[in-house]
Amino acid sequence: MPHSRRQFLMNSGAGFGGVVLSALTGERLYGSELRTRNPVAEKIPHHLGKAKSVIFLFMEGGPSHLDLFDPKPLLNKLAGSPLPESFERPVTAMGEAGSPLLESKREWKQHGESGLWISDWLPRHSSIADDLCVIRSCVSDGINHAGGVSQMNTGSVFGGRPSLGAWVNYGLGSVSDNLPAFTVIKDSNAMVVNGSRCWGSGFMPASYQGTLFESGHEPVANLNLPEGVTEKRQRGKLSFLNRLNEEHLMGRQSNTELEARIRSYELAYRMQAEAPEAIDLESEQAAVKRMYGLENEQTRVFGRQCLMARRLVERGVRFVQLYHGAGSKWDSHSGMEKNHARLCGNVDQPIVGLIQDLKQRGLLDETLVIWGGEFGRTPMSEKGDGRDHNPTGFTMWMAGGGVKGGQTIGATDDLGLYATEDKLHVHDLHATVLDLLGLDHNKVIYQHKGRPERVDLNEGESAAGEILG
Amino acid sequence: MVGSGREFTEKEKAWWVVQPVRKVVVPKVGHAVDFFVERKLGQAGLMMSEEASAEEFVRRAYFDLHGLPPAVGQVEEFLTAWEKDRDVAVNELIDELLASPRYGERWGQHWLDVVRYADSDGYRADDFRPAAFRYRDYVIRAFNEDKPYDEFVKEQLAGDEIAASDPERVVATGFLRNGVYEWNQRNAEMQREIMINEITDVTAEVFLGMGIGCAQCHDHKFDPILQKDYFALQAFLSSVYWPDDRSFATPEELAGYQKRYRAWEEATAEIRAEMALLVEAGQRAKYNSHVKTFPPEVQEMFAKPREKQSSYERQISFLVERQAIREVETRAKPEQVLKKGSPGRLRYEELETQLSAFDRLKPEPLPKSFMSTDTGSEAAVVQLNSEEVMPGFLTLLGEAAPAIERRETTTGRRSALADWIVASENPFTARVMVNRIWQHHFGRGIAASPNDFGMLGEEPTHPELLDWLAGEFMSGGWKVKRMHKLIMTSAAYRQTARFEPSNAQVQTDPGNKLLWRFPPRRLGAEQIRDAMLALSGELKHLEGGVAQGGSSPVRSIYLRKMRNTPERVLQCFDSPAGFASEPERLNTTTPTQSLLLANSEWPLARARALAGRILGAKGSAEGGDVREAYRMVWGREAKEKEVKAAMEFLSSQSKNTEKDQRAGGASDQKGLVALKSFFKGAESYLARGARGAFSLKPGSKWEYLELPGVQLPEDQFSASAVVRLDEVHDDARVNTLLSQWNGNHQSQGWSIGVTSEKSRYGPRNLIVQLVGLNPGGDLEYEVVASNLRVPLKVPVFVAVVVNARGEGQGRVTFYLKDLSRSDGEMQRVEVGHKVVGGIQRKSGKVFLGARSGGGHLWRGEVARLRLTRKLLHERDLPEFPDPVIDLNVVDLAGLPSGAKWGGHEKFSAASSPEREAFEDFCHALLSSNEFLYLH
Repeated sequence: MPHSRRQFLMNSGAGFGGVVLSALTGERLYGSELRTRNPVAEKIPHHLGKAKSVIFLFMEGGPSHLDLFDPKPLLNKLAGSPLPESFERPVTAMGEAGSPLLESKREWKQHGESGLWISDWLPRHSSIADDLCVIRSCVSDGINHAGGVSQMNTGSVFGGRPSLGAWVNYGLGSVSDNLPAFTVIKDSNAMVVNGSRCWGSGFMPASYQGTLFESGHEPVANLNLPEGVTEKRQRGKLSFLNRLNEEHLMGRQSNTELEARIRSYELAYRMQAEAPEAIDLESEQAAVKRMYGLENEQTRVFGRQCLMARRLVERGVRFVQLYHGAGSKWDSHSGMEKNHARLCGNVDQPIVGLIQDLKQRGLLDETLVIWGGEFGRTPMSEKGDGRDHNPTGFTMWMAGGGVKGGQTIGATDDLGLYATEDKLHVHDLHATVLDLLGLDHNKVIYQHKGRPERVDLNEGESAAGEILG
Repeated sequence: MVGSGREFTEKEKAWWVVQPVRKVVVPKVGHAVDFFVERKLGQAGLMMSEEASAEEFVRRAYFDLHGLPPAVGQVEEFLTAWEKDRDVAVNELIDELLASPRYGERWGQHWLDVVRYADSDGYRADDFRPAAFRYRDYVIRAFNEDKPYDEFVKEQLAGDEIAASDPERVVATGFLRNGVYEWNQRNAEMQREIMINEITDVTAEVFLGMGIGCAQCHDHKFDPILQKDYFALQAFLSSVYWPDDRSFATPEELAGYQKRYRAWEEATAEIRAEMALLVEAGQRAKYNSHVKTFPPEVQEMFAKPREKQSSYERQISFLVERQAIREVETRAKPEQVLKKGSPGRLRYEELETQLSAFDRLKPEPLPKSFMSTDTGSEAAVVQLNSEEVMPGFLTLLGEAAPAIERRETTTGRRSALADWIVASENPFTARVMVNRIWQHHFGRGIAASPNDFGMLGEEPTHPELLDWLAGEFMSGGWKVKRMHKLIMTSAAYRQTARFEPSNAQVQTDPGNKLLWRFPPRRLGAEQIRDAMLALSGELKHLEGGVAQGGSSPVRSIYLRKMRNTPERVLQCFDSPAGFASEPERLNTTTPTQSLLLANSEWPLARARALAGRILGAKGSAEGGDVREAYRMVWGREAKEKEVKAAMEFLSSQSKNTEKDQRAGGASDQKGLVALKSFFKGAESYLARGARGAFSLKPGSKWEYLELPGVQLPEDQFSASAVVRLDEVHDDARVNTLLSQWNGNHQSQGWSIGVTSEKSRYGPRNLIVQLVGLNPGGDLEYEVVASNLRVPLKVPVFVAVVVNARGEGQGRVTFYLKDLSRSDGEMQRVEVGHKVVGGIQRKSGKVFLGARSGGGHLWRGEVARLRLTRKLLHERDLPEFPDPVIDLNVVDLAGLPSGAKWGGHEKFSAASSPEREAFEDFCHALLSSNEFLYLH
């Protein structure tokens, strides 16, 4: 019987959910098989990727590549005049394609041994210049925040698909049993554009979705005991429930969902114990806190997020996504100088602290750090002193996880409007991230409505070769 | 002729789903469904399980057809009938269930999943669609009335063409506009393409079971569907748009309305002309500047006179106009265009008053429809490789091009498509629908991928059964209820799920595709939520209507389905988000669900209500109460040993809850001292474990207290209270402590409260809401949030000092102190706001525990309350000089004459450890696998 039971579990297709093709072994894993084992249990990658986890620093609203990583001398020369005829007129969100070009007021220098260009808005970044691989030729399809944020997270501008973190979680599984393999932390109460579907699992089972960690006494929704209920009372109730469920299971063992639900209470219980500890920064040394800028009002919030991210990847969390400027705060249709100066001030030190801390702990090699927003900004001005959305050419960077630092990949045209060399579409970016984690994006397949679905909607190509250098 | 000229292979031509539906002969004796199921089982050397018990069957049938558990009496009734004659009992039960309006509420949901229904736009703004419910009600009604499926299909694709004068059928075309819509997309041409592609994809998936999205860019890689076929299908649908100005009315109603409206128009022509003149320039400027944000070629199309526009250009213009109108409606309202106090504004207000004198002439506006139609009788051209593609069907089928009859305002193409879809020769339609029906009864379709019968999918497990059912469906007049009965009376459906497989089943058919037992299932999201509400006695039945807010105790199908903010219980149990057609639910088991069941307020509240329903005013439970709980939640009699175990649990748990109450109260001496300094009578209050002050409980007759008028200054006051908040609402409602406000953002007033679960300020945030004047003199609604979190179930001291006198800015000072803890510090926060006066309310009535007239209730107790016209300093708080209200609820001193309680006439029993233990017992039952699974 044990043999046949195992076999039953192996072969049973009793599940009603989509049939899942294992990304890794090529073996079919049926619904109930997934339910028996922890569906996000660790899996083995296709090839040896250096990166084991990802920290995605999402600057929501669209930071200006033209004022941070992609200097354009011609822009300042032509400032005040309209976009030259030789440039194709883009469709812009606010219809400002005809507005005069806006100069970049930044001072630009080359930094590190590699001579990477970084503007004076990120002064501390000079010390990590040789760790960054700056990709200046990113391209997205979303001209508005909703479409842009949705595509950067899920590959589609509409919604309804699994997010990148869910794909990673599906492909690689989780090292930790007690923490969600995909966690999201925001910098304020404001909601990220499109809400929780940014970290949703789309058509995949919910076990792959991201979990929102909130600061405060209840980091995960419903993690704490109901107010006023003691541990003892809760235990009394849950052990009675467990007894009911165990009795119910007798004579129904073939239904593996029943056992999985009993087990899900244990998982929940362990999460209750572990999650608050994972993001409790009290035990961190003062020097570490200083690295992240925790003592400084301006950098404290994002510094805390970055430090939590390090603690989470240390504990085996696969994918951590940090939102800075949740609710499109990086959006700067007007008054960009003021807006960007403040926001850059918020993130400069925490990001540098994160990279350096990961490095000193030997974690940087296995942690892929990604920086960027849903798009960049136009060389044309808006309302005099702002810039409109630009999805046709913008900058993101990667560091760690085996990425070759101190290099620049791709280029935009002389005004930074369109990506011209080595275009990296969001689909390519997603394929690349999987590749860096050791997964072949063509083989990470989820069968949905009778069709094989992939992270890149079958359109991406990995650029890992160049990025690894 | 566009086309790849591709030759189809023999295998492609033999694709099962393009073969005509076969006529299958079944033996005259026995149930036809069982003939097929048994034959397959027999071939595999297997057999069906025994018949399910009456209890198992009745619970399955109720959840299946109604999505609700049977009531105790309904189970008993069925058992009695079952004893007499099983077949008769089953037959009668199915008839009875199909005749109930609850049936449409369950099966309508399956359809809404498939047609990606939601009550909001998606994308960033996720605007509410106030009229979308009319489509939802149409679907529910169609199922309840057993509308023939062919009519159902035709109305959804072309109700505007085939039944233009019947609003109930026209609204079926809401099907074509259930997809997402982006409110600020300036690339109007791309937006149109996205919308038309989406309609094409979903039409093929829903009615034809064909996933053809891939063929948009290239010939389908796995199925014999050409890129040309995709666009030929699109050509039927390419002229659709979504008018927002159509009324949900018959032509007669419309004519009557217009007549009365014209009379009003004539009577008010002069006044309105002058009003229009005042705002026109400002509004037009806003409109025009918005149009300018679109690409030049779009502006060109928009600028053409309507009669010169092509259908395509009209579609584009509609998208532009929709945004421009939204812009004017939100950013160029008369009060925004005309400066406050300006001569124009004053004149406008005067005219408004004059206009309102004619209100009696003005007819009530007609309700809005939620429909789709074409932009004209000439079709928007569909092109592939620069050549026009005409409407047509799959090349593989080799059918002739359809005859299309143009209508006055539409192309007639959608009617032609609908006619083809429901033609009896169409090999897809009936198979797709009977497969969906089968799928929802057994959890898995005969063909496993209900939206895509493509060649990649699995072959049907019982192809002949599928064809036989499809044939029966068509010959029986496309009646869905008949199919339910046919399936549910079969032995296959009536067999038990309580059979454990042995080697034979495990080796041959581990997935139970051949149905050697009834497939066990977890309840779906709506079944779980609705069943909990039904058991707790809180479920409110509706007959359709406007979508309800998240916490309304109505069936889930009537809740607002917002794409970006799904209802938490439903989302947690795998309700789809509504972005794409979802033919089947995922069925997950996650720790998140366990956390929600164990710790969140929603199931706890249901458990309390269920316990209350069983216990009434009793303080503790007896064996009979336990038995009743089992009967209600599990639909069966409890076994003796189960009752015994439950009684043991109640006895041990009441010791746990007893300690709990003490822990939750203010037993700590220092805390007592802290409390004593704030009000008289503290000792007697605390002696009762900080319970026994006036309980302001929703559902009791003491929901709130209405205090007689108090005239406060227009810009300042201070209030303090000793209170206990037991729970917050599970939606965004505020737990109102004290207010002089009706909740209307246009109506001056103020309110002090604590936020709930879904508040954008986070839960348990102490806030003040103000509606008053801003420095510009305009009315402003503002939430002043302290970010001080009020602990639950313990006595706390709160105070707010509202100072709206500032030059250009007002401020509120908040105080909060946890009185149950000796180390509870007085927390103090000052928050600035824009309101600088005008917050007083003329009536002067003050409401304790609610907004004026009830609503947004406080759920807990109030022991002491004071209100003064002065601005108090922190050191004045204990003394609290010159109160205009000084309420000491504990010993009833100071209840002013004229104060009256408001609320429901329902008894709310006092809490006790034994009662709380029974609540815990009910909570365990509602979280148990025996409740959550039909197994």
